[in-house]
Amino acid sequence: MTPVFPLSSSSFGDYQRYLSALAGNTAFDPSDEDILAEEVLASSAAEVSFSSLNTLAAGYQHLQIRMMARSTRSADNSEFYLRFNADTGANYAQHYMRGNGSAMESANLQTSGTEGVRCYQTLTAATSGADTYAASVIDILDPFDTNKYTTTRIFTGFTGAINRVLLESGLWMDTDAITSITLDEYYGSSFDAGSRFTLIGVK
Amino acid sequence: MTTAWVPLATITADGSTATWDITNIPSSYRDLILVIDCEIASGTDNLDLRFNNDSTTNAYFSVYMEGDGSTASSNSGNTNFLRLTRGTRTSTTRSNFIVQIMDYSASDKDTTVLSRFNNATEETNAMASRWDNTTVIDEVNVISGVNLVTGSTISLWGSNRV
Repeated sequence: MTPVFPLSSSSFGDYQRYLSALAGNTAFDPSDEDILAEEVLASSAAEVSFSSLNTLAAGYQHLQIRMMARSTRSADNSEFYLRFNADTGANYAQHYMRGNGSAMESANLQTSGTEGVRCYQTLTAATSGADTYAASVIDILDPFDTNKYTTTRIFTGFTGAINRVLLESGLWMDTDAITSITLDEYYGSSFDAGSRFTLIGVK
Repeated sequence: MTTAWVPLATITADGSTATWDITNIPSSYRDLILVIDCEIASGTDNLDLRFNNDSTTNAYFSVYMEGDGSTASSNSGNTNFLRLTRGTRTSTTRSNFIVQIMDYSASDKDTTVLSRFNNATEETNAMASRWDNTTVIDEVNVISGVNLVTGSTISLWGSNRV
């Protein structure tokens, strides 16, 4: 379609004036996002990592992890840590808002966690059917800005033996640029075979 | 570097249609995102999805959390369609939906959906849903209870693999 330009970039020529630069343009155009890495587990793994982000993700403003994953643990409600730069200092915080199909709940599970941002109730497990994986979209905001702590937001959910949908926020209280991300199964089990993790760079 | 998102289909409503079938979706992508910006022509109604036109009883399991401006609540259910709206949409108010259809082309997983619905005068919600089927999706069916007004848009994107 013919793009519509804001008045500030026209010269009172043939362009029609709109109050918003979005008017008439495609509503959603994520063309400045690239796939940086992807892993589909052939066998179970306790951790999944993305490394060398200083070169792999150079030039990107934000990161996103898209995943479909299960735990090898027996019970649903499984979860994982999201750890940056292998940091195990007391630098992680988290809040969540949850719906379980009958009630809403909100809490914070960390104010100075040491293992990573706790990504709460983000994995199915053996009590759900073998075909049932939890979906998560994790946005990691300004991970290379050395003036800011890195903030995460998670949209996650699954329906299986139990039902969960959650919005979560996380914080890594360190201004270092991120060079590595580790996803570490919380209960000491593993991510199950077939779990998929995709890293996207957002300009 | 591989571009993340590829546009697959865009539909602009003509004001006299309430259902759309997006067919022949390639299986070469990892996820799909369905973006709907719409307004219904009259009254109040819901917006639903089906995959591969599957209307099997209880094929779709969903859990919601939602706020209508005064109350926050959570519900769940299983039906023969995937309902994106627990609350109803009212004519003259705009709604948008961003629907993440995860691993639609994987035959070893049920497809899981994460959806966000926003209507500034009605409700905002977040939903997780599962289509109890490992068949690769090649068709997305969008079903509105009433016609969508002219100019409403439905866009489908696919995410590349590495």
